[in-house]
Amino acid sequence: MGYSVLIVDDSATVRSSMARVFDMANLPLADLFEAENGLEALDVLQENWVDIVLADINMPKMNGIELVRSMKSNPELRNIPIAIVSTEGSQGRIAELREAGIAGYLRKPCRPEELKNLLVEVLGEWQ
Amino acid sequence: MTKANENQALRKAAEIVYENSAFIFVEDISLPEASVLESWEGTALRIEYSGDAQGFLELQVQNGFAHILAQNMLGLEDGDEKIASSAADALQESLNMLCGYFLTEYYGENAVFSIGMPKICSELSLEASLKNAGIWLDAEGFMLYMCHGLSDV
Repeated sequence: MGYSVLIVDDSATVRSSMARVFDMANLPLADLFEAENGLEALDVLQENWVDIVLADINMPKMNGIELVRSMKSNPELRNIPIAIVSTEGSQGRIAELREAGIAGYLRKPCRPEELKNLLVEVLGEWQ
Repeated sequence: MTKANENQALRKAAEIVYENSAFIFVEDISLPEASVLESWEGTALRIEYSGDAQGFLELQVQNGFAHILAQNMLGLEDGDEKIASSAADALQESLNMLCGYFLTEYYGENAVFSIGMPKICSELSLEASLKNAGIWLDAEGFMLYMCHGLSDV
């Protein structure tokens, strides 16, 4: 048992390295789903239950901001927490994302303790 | 802002990104000798941004660096087949992260930008990038060159 997580990033290297960060942070994973962009993420969410979505901003087809807005406007998805994991450090952009309803923000490359703190803050400690 | 400010921001971005993502420590080096430049074999990448300012970053890396980067980012053992298949993606993602950190460092946290997709540019020569007067770095024994430029609006 553990967290069920969807990682949304167009870089396969980032998706794999995020999975490694979970391991380094001793965070238990029940399921790890991956998507290359927002559109793929919505498809995954139609078929699977996840505890949290971790999404990049800068992606082709549907970016992270569009994904947040799409999830928040969908009654079936709006309560799934979504956190942004991005290289961007603009306070204006982060404020825009918080207004759109993100549960948290991490800057890439994120450290294991930062990811752990985010998950505990959003989902609570895994028992 | 001066070229020195610009290059200082590039240097800081490189230190943060390569150390935190791949445990690779970078050090400043001076302009390599002409013979090194003439026999340069590497990969060129470019990323563009727009918003409160419009410009680009270019990254030139010596052959071999991409493999070390991918291996360290993914925590793979020597000889793992995934290293070669992930090398280009790891390089592109590192430039994406470099651009994000550079923009915050150079323009401040209040500026807002849209960052484009990082691309490998086989047509971009080292000679062309050198015209932007960027910085040379040593990373695990491999040479990297990074530069920034503003785009014509």
